[in-house]
Amino acid sequence: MENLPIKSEEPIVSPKTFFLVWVILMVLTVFEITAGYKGIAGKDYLILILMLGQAYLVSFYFMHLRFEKLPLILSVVLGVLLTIGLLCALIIWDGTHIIQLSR
Amino acid sequence: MEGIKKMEPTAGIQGLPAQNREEKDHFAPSAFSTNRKKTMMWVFIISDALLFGTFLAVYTFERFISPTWPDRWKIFDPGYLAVMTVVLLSSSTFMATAVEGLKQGKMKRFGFFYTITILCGIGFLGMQAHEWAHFIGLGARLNTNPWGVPLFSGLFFMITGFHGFHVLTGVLILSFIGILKAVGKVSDDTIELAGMYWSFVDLVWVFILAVIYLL
Repeated sequence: MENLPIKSEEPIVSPKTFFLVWVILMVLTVFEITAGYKGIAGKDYLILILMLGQAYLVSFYFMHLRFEKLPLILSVVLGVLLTIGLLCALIIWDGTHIIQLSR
Repeated sequence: MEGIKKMEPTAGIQGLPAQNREEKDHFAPSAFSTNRKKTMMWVFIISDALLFGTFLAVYTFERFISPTWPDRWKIFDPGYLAVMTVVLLSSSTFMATAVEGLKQGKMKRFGFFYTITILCGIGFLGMQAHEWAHFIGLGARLNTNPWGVPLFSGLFFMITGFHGFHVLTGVLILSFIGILKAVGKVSDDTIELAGMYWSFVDLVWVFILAVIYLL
């Protein structure tokens, strides 16, 4: 087997970038777990924001999404967000219906 | 691959008409300007994300309709959790570094970071097994637990179990592909796809950590 003759033109990412992303991830993790453990006011919002920050770093740098073309980025991000939003709506709808039936 | 090449040795992979060859857009291997394997890997990752998205949505829904919910910090240790997260996030970083090293042809760097990635994966699995043992030791079962909300332990086992199984699969895939790479049987693309899967497993853990343990 060999590589495809035409590869997408991806920029080379230096290990320095990955190291920087790793440091930021570690800082976010420490903040997140500390906030969750200490139970400070408004911790839920803080945790959700930190979670989204981590998710952004992992998907856009480690999964190379940042270096892809815009159509792929939009397809992946919007596809996942919209479908999970739809699933959540259906689960809430169905779940509340079942609860009402059982009462 | 070979068949197409024989058909049109100088053309791109799609057997495009010759007059289009100089135009870069027509050379794009798929609609997303990535190669087709990578596009399909994204499709798989999206579908897998929906699986975990549904799990976490169900967990959140059950939590909202339940009058009480167990205090996680009476069950789990934050330090242990932090170490688990650090191990998995680091392994994802190592994998990304290994793939970059491979793309630049730095095989020594690739081999080093690739091996550490697998070791971190095994380490994470061991820690999760230990946590499960701790959780079961406290009396948690699939249908009952001492904290009064039976669904809590059930959903915990389901979601972290599915995630752990993904980690196990990732470790097996990485080991298998690593051996094949060592004997020169797989392409660099395959390693990159395995790296994407591994980072996805890490991405799922980010959400599990926040939704199940911290919120």
